[in-house]
Amino acid sequence: MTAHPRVSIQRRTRPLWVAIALALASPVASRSIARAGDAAAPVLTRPPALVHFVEAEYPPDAKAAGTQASVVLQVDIAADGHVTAATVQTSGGAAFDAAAVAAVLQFGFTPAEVDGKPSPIRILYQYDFVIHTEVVAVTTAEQTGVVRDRDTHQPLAGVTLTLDDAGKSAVTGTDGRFAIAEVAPGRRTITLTGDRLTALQTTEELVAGQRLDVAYDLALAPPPGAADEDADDLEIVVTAPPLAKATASVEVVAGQARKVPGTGGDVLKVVESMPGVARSTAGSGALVVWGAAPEDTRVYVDGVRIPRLYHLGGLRSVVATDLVKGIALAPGGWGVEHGRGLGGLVDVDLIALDRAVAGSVQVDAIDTAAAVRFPVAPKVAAAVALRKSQLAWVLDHASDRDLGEFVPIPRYADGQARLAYDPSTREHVEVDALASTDRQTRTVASADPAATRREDRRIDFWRVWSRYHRDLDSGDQVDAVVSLGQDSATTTERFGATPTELATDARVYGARAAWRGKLGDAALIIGLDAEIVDAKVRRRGSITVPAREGDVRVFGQPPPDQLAADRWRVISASAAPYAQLDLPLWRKRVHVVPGLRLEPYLVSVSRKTPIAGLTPSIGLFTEEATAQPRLAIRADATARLTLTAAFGRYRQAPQVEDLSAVFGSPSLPTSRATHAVLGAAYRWTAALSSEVTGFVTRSRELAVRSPLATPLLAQALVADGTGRAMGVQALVRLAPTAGVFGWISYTLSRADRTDAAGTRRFDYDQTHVLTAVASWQVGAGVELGLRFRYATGAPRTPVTGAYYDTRADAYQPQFGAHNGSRLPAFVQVDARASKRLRWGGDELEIYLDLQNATDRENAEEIVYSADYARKGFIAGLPILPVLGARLTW
Amino acid sequence: MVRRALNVLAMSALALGACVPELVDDTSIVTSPRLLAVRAEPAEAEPGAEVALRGLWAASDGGAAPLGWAFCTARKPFTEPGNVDPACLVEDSPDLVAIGDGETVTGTLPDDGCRLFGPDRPTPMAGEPAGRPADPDGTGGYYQPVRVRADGDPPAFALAQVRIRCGLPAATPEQAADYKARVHANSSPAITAITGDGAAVIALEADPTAVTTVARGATLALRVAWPGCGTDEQPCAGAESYVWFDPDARALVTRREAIRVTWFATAGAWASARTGRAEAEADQPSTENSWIAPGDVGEQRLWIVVRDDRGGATWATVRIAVAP
Repeated sequence: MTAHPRVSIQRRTRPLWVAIALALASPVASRSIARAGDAAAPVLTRPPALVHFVEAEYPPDAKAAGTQASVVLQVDIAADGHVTAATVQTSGGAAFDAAAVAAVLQFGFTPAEVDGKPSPIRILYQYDFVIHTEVVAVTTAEQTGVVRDRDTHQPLAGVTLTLDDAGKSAVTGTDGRFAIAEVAPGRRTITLTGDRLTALQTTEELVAGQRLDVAYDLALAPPPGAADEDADDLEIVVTAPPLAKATASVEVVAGQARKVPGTGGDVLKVVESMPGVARSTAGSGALVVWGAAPEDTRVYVDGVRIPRLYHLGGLRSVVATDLVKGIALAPGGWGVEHGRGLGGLVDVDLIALDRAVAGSVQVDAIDTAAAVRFPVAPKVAAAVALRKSQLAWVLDHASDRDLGEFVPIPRYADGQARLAYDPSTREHVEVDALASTDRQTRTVASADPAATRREDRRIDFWRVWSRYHRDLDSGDQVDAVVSLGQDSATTTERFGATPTELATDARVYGARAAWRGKLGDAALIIGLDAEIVDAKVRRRGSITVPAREGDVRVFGQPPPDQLAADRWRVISASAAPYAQLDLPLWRKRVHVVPGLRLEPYLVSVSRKTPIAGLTPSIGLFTEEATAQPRLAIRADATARLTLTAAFGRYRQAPQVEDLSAVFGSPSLPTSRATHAVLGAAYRWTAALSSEVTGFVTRSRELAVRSPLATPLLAQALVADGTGRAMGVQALVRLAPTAGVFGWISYTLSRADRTDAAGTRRFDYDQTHVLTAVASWQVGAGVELGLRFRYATGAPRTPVTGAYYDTRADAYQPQFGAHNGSRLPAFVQVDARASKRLRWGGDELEIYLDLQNATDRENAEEIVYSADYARKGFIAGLPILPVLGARLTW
Repeated sequence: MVRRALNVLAMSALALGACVPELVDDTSIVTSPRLLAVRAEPAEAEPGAEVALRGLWAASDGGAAPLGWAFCTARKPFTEPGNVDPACLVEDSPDLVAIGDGETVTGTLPDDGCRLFGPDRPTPMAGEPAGRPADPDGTGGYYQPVRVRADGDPPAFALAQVRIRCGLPAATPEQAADYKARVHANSSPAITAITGDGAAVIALEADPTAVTTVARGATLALRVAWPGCGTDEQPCAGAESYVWFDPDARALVTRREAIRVTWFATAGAWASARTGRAEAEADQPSTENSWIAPGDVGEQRLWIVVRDDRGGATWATVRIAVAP
């Protein structure tokens, strides 16, 4: 139990003991007593005692001004103890004097006794008028907060919150706020009920003498008769303490993401419009955040790492849109629960399966997707989703030209299957499977045998995982996920007689477990994140192809014809225990979240040096123990202003493709990075918010090509690269209000890389990236959307000359400063229009997604004439209308 | 109409791979004197051997070749995307060993070619182990770079490469022995016949006075032939067979050369700037092309350069009289 200090304004008196002192010691009192008993020399045998105190009225003006005073009164007390007169001896001011006299005249005393008999007496009494702080011990807690619509952030009125404390409850007002006072402290279960809500419960820790202010964001069931897009989102999300999002995270729920122009209705494509994300080259599907290479950013689905977010061509993501609840991007500064990456973190959250039957079919020129959710048994629900591209088929039937000669047409498919079982209200078991396949082929025939080209890319992966969740009786939570998967990627190119082949087959084993509970006032997470990758790699071709970050290259330049080959196997394992504490301070307005991830990296490479004759291969085993401390601070400075800061160290094992004794180096260590983040978020209204985040990241021990003309054996790559990125990103976001939502994000950044050749701009560096997204429900089921994007052109190394290579019969470029120039800026407007038709519980949405609505020719790459005397730009996406339909039921 | 709309959509979808601007390759039209090819004799030699280098200097007036030749001893790092260290292409590089000047020069290949540019591990630096050997080209060959400088303001540089014959140190002893027994030095290809519209065309290398007449604007169907070669690993001036060590399968394999023909002219237009026969077509010892004569009457020259993919080259020069 704690005392609760409370500041108040009160009067304080010092009556009796002061009076006695004055009566005995004051000459005035002595004289009075003496006069009263001249003849018999009376003796005071019992002093009067104040038994009835009347508080004087504090003069209002003086109280307002904070003025204090003392008034000394001469008080005449009759033999029966009542006050007969009071006169001011020492003034505290007219108002104070009058108030004191009026109060003292109402006092009551025990009769004073002189020589053992009740007698009248005169005393001096000092009345002090003081303003003071009083410490009041409070034994109850208070909970206040706001309840909002999760999608719109609009306050929800009429939601009843009931505590398991003698049924104490409150109903939210029109502003969504509620207050429940005098709650017995301890862990309390709060039940939320209301229209379009299933009964929801959450647990809060209430502390005596403290007020807990929370925000509950709830997903509502659709109105009766309305289509149920997000019927599975019936869950509670506590967005204010005790759960705090990652310091620099941006989340978008599926319902909004689907409506963003340019995404083609693919929820996960919205990541490209988030702050901190550089614009990737059209069709690459690469994710570049905060100056990190695409392979340094990790993508998780339901806590399981997957190798890529988008299919080849970048048109679609690999996760079924209908099974996605939301997506969060943390460009940096993320917590200890994840690791093995230097860049950003993309976390795809899947919907919870309920017992409703629902489904959808979406068809457009690019692909066809279908998803269905249904109950299997009273406690078992399932979902299946499939998607298959049809762009190649459309193009084959729509064009007389063999388009495959010009561009690689992506062919892809993906599928998901989920089975959820709830053994009890506190347990959840789920088995999920996710698979994706990509094919991309291009053949360019030529009369010149050296100019024939063939490109073939295949990327397949699958994951199967099982998740277990349990809410313990104590309110703690336990989660465990085990996963198994396979990543296969093959790139085969033939440029004339020069082959390039890179094939990787990796079996991926993963296991995660976490316990979330309380440690006093703090929230504690303890977990283990383990992963084993067993990869077999085969590579043939030039050592410089495929190109890696930092390579100087020109589009279309034939690869060097020096060829090598290698096959190797890499087994890398790490099991990282981690712990994170969320320390609430200052009435939970400040959360300090320290965390530590201890991660040993064990890497076994099958061959330490290249094959040489009959010399047996000797493998290499490396072990590296790492400690990755991370700290996040979140402070609710005011009800509207939140300040955040984060710092963290990150490690990443070398890419298995880099551990070749021929093409790379088997002894590459882990790369490391440091993130520092400082941000502020301000909520202007319930719907309008803004965020500003500054960041600095530094990375080192990055694998770069050896600059030596004669590198040491098995050291074609060396860990000598360092990187630096810094910048500021801003986000102004309007949650759905009156049918309108959108955001403006802007990132100002600079990313550099340093190696033996010096410091240069990072290959993906973009100084300015601006994205504005807006969607408007016009009415009658019509919705319009617009997206504007601006991005500084990516760095390129200028060609300053050329020489003729007589053996290759080709001109070879000579280069200027590495990444010393840039592509022209990218500017694009995308638009989306949709019309919804509803009947019963079904809905048909017809949409037109218009990419590059202004048909602007954006330069995606520089291309040179054969002798490098002239250059032009490869233009990206022309105006691309995609008409589609989506049926949901 | 619908089909046309779909066609537009389809072409728009090509944006997946974007739209490449038309930058016509006009390097097959020689508008100013330049080096078109270099031929080494022998076409493949061991380090320390003497080789003769001859350049094909294309000048419509037949002027002398202002060429300066030098071996380059700089090995390119992996950070270099081209086939040679850029240090070879600067004016006064310490990595250059001068050979001589003129259209034809003779020089001695550096002795350490197989260490610098071949499979032998480079000489180690003090206190360090030996470095990484160079990788062979797709035919298993290693090359000594030769910098060719053409006088001018500024001077123009070109790169020639002489195939050097090295061992097979990464193979097993049995493979190395087998390879040594089977390998033979590359032979430059030879042109056995040139025909134009079915008639023999005489090259200036065979008859300095030969002229072929073509009407202005007419199309001349040209065919160039080289010796047919068998599948036995014997020297041949065509698409010869050779033994190759497959670094992936780590086995010796018999392969055939690909032949590539580059067509140059002082005017007019070629149907294709380059033609040839890939390895899979090695049994076909000829290739065709068409040249469209210019609209102006006068004398023009054609150069037909034939290369095998192991560094061998030869050429023929044809004088054309464009008639009314």
